Amino acid sequence: MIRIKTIHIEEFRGVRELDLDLDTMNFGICGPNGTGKSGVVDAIEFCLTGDVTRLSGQGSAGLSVRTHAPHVDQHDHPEKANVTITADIPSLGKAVKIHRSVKDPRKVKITPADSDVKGVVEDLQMHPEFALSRREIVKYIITPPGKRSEDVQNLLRLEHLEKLRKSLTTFNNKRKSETDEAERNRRQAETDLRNALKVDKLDRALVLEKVNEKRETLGLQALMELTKDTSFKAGVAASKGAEVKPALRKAVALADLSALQSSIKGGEPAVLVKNRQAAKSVLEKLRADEQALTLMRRHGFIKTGLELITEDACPLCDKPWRAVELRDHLRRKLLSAEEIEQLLEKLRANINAVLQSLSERIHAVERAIQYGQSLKPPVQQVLLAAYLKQLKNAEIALNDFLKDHSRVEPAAQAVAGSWWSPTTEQQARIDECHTAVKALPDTSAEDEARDILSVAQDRYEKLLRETKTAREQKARSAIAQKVLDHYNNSCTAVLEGIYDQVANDFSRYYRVINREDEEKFAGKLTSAPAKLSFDVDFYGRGLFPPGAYHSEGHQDGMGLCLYLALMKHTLSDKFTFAVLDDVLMSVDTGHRREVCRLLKSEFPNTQFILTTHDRVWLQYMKTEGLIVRSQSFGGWTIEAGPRVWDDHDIWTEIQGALDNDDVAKAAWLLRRYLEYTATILADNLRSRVEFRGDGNYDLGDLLPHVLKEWRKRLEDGEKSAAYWKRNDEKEAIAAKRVKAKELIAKTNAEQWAINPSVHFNEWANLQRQEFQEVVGAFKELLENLRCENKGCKSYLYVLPRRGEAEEMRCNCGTTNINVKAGT
Amino acid sequence: MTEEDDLVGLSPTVLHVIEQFVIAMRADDGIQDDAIDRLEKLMRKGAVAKPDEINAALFDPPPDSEI
Repeated sequence: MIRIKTIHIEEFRGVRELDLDLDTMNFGICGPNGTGKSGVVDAIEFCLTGDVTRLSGQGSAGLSVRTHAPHVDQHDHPEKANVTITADIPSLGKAVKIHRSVKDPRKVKITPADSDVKGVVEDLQMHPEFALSRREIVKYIITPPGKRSEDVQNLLRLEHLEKLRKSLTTFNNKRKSETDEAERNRRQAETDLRNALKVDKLDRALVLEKVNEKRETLGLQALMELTKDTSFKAGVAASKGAEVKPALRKAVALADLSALQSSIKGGEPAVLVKNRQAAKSVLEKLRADEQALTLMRRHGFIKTGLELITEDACPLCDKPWRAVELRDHLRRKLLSAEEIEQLLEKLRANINAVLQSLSERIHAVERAIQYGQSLKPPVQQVLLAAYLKQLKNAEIALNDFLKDHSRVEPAAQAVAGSWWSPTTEQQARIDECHTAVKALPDTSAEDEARDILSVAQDRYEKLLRETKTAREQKARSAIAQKVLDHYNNSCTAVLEGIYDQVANDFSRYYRVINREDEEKFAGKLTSAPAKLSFDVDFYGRGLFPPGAYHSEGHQDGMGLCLYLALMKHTLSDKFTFAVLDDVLMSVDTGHRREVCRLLKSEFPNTQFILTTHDRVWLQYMKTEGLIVRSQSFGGWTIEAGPRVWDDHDIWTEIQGALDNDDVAKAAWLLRRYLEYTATILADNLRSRVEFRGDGNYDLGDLLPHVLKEWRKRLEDGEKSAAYWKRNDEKEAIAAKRVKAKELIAKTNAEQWAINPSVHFNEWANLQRQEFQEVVGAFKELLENLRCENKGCKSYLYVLPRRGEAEEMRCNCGTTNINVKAGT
Repeated sequence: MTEEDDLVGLSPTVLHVIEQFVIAMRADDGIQDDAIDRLEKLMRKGAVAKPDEINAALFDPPPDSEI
């Protein structure tokens, strides 16, 4: 990962031309909505990945980077829209310059073009999760477990595991399907043998009995056992013309036709009715429910689409896409139909049962047609052919649906009505066949026995083959299922270990942000194949999905914490860069400081680029030392882009106003800045301020009380150090307190509460030199309230946040004053 | 493709899952060792194994299969 030094943007989104100097440090971008903040984020994303999520992600139909990324006035000149980023790559100890033009978003110019440098940029391109917007942050929180699993695994670079799982699942499903088909063929062979021998069930003893009856007719020895090598025809002398296999053997044909007639007359079996009705009900529901049908169609279509992606373009419309991104895009849609997948599993079982019966009937009708054609004169086959076509169409429709779930309509029709009973005319043709076969000259008992044994032998051998195939397919299917189960279990076990670590980090981060009220908070990530459930504690009342009870602000906080925990686990010390685009807009004031501290203390080696429309938020970030540099956008015009307001240092800005002899502006700036700082200090020091229901406190309401509290806290610290006989500490605190008293006197701020007329409202009327002294006094005073460590400089704060105060400390720990009474 | 090339792109976590997966399969008497060997080799390749390749590894090894 990288750390950005500079960004140069030209004619990109709402920006005409902009240079930002980040110097590899955390950076804040602030401005009201519509001033170009997100344009900067888009530019960073574009330069590093060639893509802009807002133009290519969900809800961006009709938008494209090439057409809509250039500034609107350069709509037809994408070559003028360019972004250049210079950055350091800490892991390589190298610097890099990355340049990309909207003219060719997929082409990036990397300088130097070293393979290791290119590797880092390619990694950013493949996984653009370094940029997190508020729109995306909730995706880890309020999202179905299946979707979360994929999102989180993508972020953890574990998508390979998910792809492997899908591959194994497809393999397993295919084996199941082939096993079903083999079993159908076996049953068909069983029915055929049963018909030939005219038995109701295939029982070894019964088969031997029937075979031996025929053998006895031929004067042959009875068979004693039925094995795979048993020959029903053993010892049968070849009859005249036996080398030619007759198309019709009267006895067998009569048996087959009688079986077909009985089957039709017996009516549709109850099991078939049940399965057909169940399939019908679901398919008709899908047909009637437009949304479900769309999902179903989409499910099949997307599955087909996924198989067709072989290059960097949509296989349907040739729109340029990166193959990897297009697959991800389609998979996201596919997962939204997760419930449909479950429905399909049930439907598959019902349809398979229907297919079994259809297959048997098709086979029987084909035989009837074959027998009819063998007769002289042949029986008219047109009607039976129509019935056969009807049956085959139903079979094709159901098989097609199993292969492609978008083909609902023909499948629904196939199970809508019963195909069990042919029409009266068709039935008449079958009867006609039967009658004609029956009318054939009787063969001798010996010839009949020979015919039956011959056909039974063929059918027995076929049954043996089909049984063997079905057994093999079943065994393979069992292995496929075991392989899938082992994979899922191994994956779940390994991922659970990872998720436990992530959940621990997540919970710790969240507790840091919310230690006031959720000290015992814990989150739990539970992995199952293709699912990742996420539950969080709600004030000790149990674990619930984050969206169940927590407020939107808390959910935002959770999203950030989970994102950070995932990034930490994924990238470890390579997590050197992240863009947080307005991700904490709903975090309340009390928690903002904690967010700043979290980012600063837990991710000291990560460069954060944070955007916000809230100026006070930006100041919090600065005050807490999270950011040093920032850029404010004061407005935006279509012609000029963002109006940049450089506020790197408020004191420089105030001095600038004074240098221009603009005391009024300098006074306004100082007052606004002190108002904001006093709010933070009042909170930090737990000052006793007169409560106002509207929450509006001006500087006079806050600062005198803050300074009074500051002196008291220092006094407490001094007393405590004396009690514990820490003389050096006592002297240091005493010196700080004396200095504080002196500085407070210089600002005259404590007098404001006593004499409101001597007030900051008068500042604007001061002479430049007089106000210069006021500015200097406040600057020095505020320094007195900060940690002296130059790397920290945070304002001191009291802990705990409620109850008896125990310590006053800074962020880095250099300053830690015991303020608890020593008795 | 060399063995080193095969391993390019697989994260330690993915390799760990494959390792555990192979251990679980070896503990299962119902799966042949040579089939496991072929499947493991397939999975350690950088690309995701396709369903047909998995099928071939488990049930229909090519006649000139090394294993």
